[in-house]
Amino acid sequence: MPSSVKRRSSGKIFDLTSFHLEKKFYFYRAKGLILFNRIFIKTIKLFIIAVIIAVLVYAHDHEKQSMHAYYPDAFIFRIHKSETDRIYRVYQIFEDHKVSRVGQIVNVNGYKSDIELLVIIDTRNNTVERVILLKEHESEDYGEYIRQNWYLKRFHGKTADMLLDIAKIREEKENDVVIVTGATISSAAVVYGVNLCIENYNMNIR
Amino acid sequence: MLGRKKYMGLTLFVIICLFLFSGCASESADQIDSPGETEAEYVIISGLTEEDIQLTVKEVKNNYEPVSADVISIDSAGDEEQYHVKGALLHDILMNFDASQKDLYAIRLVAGDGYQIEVPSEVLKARDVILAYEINGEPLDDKTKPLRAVIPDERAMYWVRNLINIEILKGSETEEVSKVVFMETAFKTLNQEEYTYYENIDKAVKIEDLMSQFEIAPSIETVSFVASDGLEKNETGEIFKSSYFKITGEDAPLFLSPDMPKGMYIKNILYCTASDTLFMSAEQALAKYPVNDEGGISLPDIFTDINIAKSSNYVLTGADGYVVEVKAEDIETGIIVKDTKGEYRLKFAGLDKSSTVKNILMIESK
Repeated sequence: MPSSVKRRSSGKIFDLTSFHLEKKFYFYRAKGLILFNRIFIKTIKLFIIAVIIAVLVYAHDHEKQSMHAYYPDAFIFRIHKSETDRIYRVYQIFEDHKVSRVGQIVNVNGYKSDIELLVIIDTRNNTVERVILLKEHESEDYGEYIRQNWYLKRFHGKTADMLLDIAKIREEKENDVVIVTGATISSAAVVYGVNLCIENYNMNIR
Repeated sequence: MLGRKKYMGLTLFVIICLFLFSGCASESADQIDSPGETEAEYVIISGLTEEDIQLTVKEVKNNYEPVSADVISIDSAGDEEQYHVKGALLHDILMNFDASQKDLYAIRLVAGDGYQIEVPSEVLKARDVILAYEINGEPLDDKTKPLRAVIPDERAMYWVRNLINIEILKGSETEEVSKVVFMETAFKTLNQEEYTYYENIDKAVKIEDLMSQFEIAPSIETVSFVASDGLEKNETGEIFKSSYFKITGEDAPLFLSPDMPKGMYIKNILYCTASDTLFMSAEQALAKYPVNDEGGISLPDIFTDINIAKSSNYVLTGADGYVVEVKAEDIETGIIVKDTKGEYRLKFAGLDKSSTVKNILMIESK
């Protein structure tokens, strides 16, 4: 039967051609909607996965987070090329669109455990701005001293133009740091860690 | 469809796990103590026979009857810690070499990190010395190997870990004290150096300078210490002369050295005796001995405590060189007081003012 034949049904006249077209339209629209929905749902899923991964990546970078705790308004950028076996994170800290500091995370052997330090060097005056103890499991009776602020403060303001020397009784030179008797290995390990960062700063970053 | 969902879920789970656990990996990598090579681990016993005796841990384990004990260690702060130790008795080992622990004058326990301590005869007579190779059911860790000396009911300072040498010490007669030097006054006559002591910068003097000033022979073998808390300890002359007295701040006078393990420091020294000279802290003495109505301490109380040579006369010297000679019977009325300048003076109740010595430096038996 030709498609253009008009039929009377319930008082209404239907055009079969347009009926088929309309049917096709609805069919394809439905199909399109299904496809769109699928793509949309997949996109949403991918987006959620991406967000989770991003959150995990950010959460995983504890070091960057800890740096943000000290420099909340700064933009912190990781420099992979300056990282070494011991110094496994190097960050540039930007303030007012300029690099103001370099933060390095270094891992050294202590008396009983690995000691992890964040060493911040102020690039504007080439001094050690602060040394932060991130992780250690030294013994309670000996290792406690390197957790003390009074010990870590001994590094603050030290020049980054030269390596630090270990002193046992008192500071006699500008670059002397007095280690703690009774926690000699642990406190000397901190000096060693800071020296690695000073060296890396001068060789690979500055 | 379900398979793909499962696959995606699994992938997501693996990614999350990787991130979560990679951060913990380095922290969980604690060292596990290996059983150790007992053949290569040994302790030297010296002074018992002509030649040093090398005793392996394996020999200690196999050749001597093991003893187990629940013991409590008490540190200098009074903190207690309980252990279950297993080892051999030093007494059994010495018996094997025809010696008895009870008959020894003293032994010196030496650790691998330089820590050393003399165990006096009274402790050797009264206590067991366990050479422990197991603590709390575990073999010793790397820092404690090859053996740990454990002396139950004695202070933790005798519990030497990483024990590498047991020196058998020969007895020597105690020399009488013929000279008492008051530390605080003596320190003023010496070069005082800055000494960083934890968070503080205090003053310290070199003991070498003190020995030179008061003509103590550098070859002196042993120096004995008595601290305010009752601690009595001997130290070798070699260690003594290369060390310092920290004279200000916490725990002063404090015997210390940058090359000495912290456990060997002696806090709040009441006196120390080197040869025939006794260095006394007047500050610690004022805290230790009974104080009379005048706020001073009685000289006879001090003399009773120290082994000063009996004499008919005593010569008293001040920091300014002022010298007075007093009779032995006058010593009975001697009082040491701290004056308003923070200096110590020695005065006598029954004598005139000329017998008073300001800034007392020294008392010598004549």
